Amino acid sequence: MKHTQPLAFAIAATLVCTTGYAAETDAWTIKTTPQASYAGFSNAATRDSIVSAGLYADMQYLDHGGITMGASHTTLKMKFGAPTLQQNALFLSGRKNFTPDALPGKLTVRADVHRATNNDVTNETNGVNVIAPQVGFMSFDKSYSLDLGYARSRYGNSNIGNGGLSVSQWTPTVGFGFNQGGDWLQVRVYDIHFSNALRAQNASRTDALEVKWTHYLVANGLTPEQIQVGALVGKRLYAVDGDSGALYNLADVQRGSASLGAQWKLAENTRLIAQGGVERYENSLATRYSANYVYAGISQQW
Amino acid sequence: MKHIKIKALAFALVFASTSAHAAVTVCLWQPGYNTPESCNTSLATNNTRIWQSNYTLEKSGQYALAVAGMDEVLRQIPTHEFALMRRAWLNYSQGRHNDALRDYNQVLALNPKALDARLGITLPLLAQQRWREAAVEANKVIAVSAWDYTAHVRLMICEEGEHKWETLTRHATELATRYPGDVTAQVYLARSAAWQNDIPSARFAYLKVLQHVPDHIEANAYLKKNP
Repeated sequence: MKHTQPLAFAIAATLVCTTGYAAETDAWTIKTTPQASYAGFSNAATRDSIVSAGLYADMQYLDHGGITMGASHTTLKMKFGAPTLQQNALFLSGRKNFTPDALPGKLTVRADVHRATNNDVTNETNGVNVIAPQVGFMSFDKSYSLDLGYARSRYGNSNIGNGGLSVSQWTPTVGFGFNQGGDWLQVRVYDIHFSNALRAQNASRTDALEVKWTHYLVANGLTPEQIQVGALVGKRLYAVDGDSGALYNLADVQRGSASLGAQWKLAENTRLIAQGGVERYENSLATRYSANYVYAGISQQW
Repeated sequence: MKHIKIKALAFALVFASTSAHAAVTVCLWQPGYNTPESCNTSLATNNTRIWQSNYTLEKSGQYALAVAGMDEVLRQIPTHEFALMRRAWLNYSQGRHNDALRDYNQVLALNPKALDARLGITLPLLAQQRWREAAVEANKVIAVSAWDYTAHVRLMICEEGEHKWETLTRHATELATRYPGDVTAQVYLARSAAWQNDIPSARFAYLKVLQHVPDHIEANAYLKKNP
């Protein structure tokens, strides 16, 4: 009898655990996205190329909310034998969805944290910590969305006497769906303020407007399920991009960009995302140059 | 002894409620015990009036008043499953989806086996486009009642909401096999084919839809656009 009781308990416990596991598996949706990008600089005085690789993992719990984690390594190769800059970045994002009856859509509250460390001898792009809260609203019929994001970035103190730097960024965004849900247009303002102009190419603020148009298609063979065209006008420095979870701590002043991307459905739960584009920059010596980049990522839902 | 106590309690409550709260008759009985005669009588009189007026209020679209009626029942018997179910439905009907969720969840907390509450809770979840949660609830019904029609239809709505077209195709095909006389499975089969640009399959399914409902707007529109 004593022998059978633990056995019965073990079987019962196993059943409970198995059932519990199955329920949890249903409740959580896990998506991983390994990704890589390469950019070559043209007409740049000091920069040669930048290569980045990383892994992002997103965990969505039912419709309640989710967590995204990401880690990436970036190598910025300089010209004329200048030391290569190596950077590690971490990204953590949490979101919670609300569906109050008073609103005709879904409200999402989100908070992102970024951390970037590198071997910059000036320490000016090193030790970056960002906290970025955001509140967003998407109508049930997907005809429009609104969101307001804020990001507070702190950079390491300069080793060459330029002092400290903190950056405040506001990103009001509107999105519109049209063509019976076949198209989506997103317009975002980047309003970025710097605490120290010496560290911000003598600017106290920059403003830019970013527009992204996404067209949805019926995936079929080589036909992607969506294509996206993007453009940015104005000036942008030390930006935090909430959509991609990217931190622009290594860049000079961005003076515009254009991009073209597509997403292919490889299998029911697998997507290939590819993007290419050109970004125009201006450095502290007022030299203008451009970065031509390609990006690829494979997203797998488990 | 226990039986007598329950009976006594039931009688006492019936008397108390008829005098103090004539609008609501409280009748408690437990499964396995005989229902007291007086309890049956009061259910047939006072209670019938409450439910009757509740259905009338619902029919005339006076959901808030109908909810207030159920509030009164629940004030006296907070665990009245059917009153909770009614209130959940009435809240859902007037767009108070979070209140409906609360009520359905209360029923499920009282009786986790309640399949109608499980199906009921999918309604406010679908209204809020909480596809995954609705799918979990529909799947819980399917787990104990494999071909429950309503659960499968609600699950197909979730699959459509999440744009899971391959899954929806498989699911709608299976449901159409189980319910060959049903048009809804054919509509979802046609939609999933249309979204996957499988025009011949979509046409085939929409033509079947027209056999059931000759003036089906969606089917006619698709067939006109894809002759």
